[in-house]
Amino acid sequence: MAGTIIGEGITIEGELSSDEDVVVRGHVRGKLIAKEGVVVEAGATVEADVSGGTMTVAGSITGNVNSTDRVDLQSGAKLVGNVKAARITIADGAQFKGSVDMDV
Amino acid sequence: MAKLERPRSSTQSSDESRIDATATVRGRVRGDGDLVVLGTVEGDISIGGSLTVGEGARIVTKGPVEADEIEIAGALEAEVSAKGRVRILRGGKLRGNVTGTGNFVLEEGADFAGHLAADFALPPELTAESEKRRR
Amino acid sequence: MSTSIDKSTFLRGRLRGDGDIVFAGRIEGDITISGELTIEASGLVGASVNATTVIARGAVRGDITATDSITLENGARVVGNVRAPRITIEEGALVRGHVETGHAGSATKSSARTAVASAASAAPARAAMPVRAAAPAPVVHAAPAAKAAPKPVQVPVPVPVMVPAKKAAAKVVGRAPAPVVPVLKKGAKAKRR
Repeated sequence: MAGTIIGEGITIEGELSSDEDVVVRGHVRGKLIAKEGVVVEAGATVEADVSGGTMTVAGSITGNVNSTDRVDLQSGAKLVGNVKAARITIADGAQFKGSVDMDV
Repeated sequence: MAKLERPRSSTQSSDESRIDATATVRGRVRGDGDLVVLGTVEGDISIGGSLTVGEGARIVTKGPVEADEIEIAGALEAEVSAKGRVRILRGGKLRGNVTGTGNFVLEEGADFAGHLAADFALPPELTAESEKRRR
Repeated sequence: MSTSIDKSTFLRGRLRGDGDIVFAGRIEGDITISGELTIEASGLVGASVNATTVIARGAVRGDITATDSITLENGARVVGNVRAPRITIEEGALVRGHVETGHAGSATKSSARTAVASAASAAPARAAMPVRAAAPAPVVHAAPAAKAAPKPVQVPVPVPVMVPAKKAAAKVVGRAPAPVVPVLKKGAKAKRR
């Protein structure tokens, strides 16, 4: 099983760093640094600055997001924070508040 | 039900001694071979081979119980010192610290309260000074 | 398994909550969960561990306490105290510390809280959570496949916030603040495998 999966009932307080993908279904408060993709599932909350590769968000992120690739906010997602990414898509029904910098 | 096994012989194993369920020894027991205690020993035990403490055995001692290997199927309240493995079988019970060896086996269903002092190093990541805990 | 932390992951902080965790990475802070914690051979835990059931084959520098059972397998290296009603130490496990069977470990949570429990193996796992209180659902998920598909789950509970009480007694779920929500203990695996 490659990658790290933080299950629904679980909370991480502090800094999480991974060389692979990270899937968050629970809660992370602090900092999240992944070398590969990050998925924040619906119902998950991330109160942290996040950096990584491709980011797929259906849950909530409060913090700045720094992606080396693309950030996709799906319907139901909520992101409050600044985004730096090569590309960003914000789906209908997603909420976003912050600035976007695609100058990568 | 804890089974009383014959101790596996240690290097020597020439003699195997046995203190039967109805027997009592008042005084110390020493020697080179293996010993199976099913009865009562009131005194120190120090042997070179394997010691087996059977179910129902009673050992009353102030000093450590010493042997090469120790297997406990009954109840023992004493410090235990071994060169090799110390094993507590299901149904057995040890109250006392274990010294001399890191080879300790606690079977499912066994009871133990004591200190273990295996000699080993943790991986460097867990001993590094730089490790700081952040809240 | 609801949570799995892979070998390349490093956590500088704490890990809390309800659910089972398979831990193969490295953590500097403590782990307090109600559920089954497995510390894999590559796992490196630098602080105390509290769970319902603990199975360890990796390294721990800290106390290990469980309300149900602890199994230290070959490969386990523990410097710290080990306490649970039932403890099994297999040949090859190395321990330096006080070991004691028979007492309930500091509670991660009384089983009384088990509200729902049973993930009931729902395939979809998240299954419709009734929005009410019950928050975290039991487990879920089978595989990493999850990546792309966030299932809409109506889980209202945001922010758990774990109270940083180091005390083992801390309820695991510190979802203190607010929402009612008592925690769900995920299908409490009380039994050791």
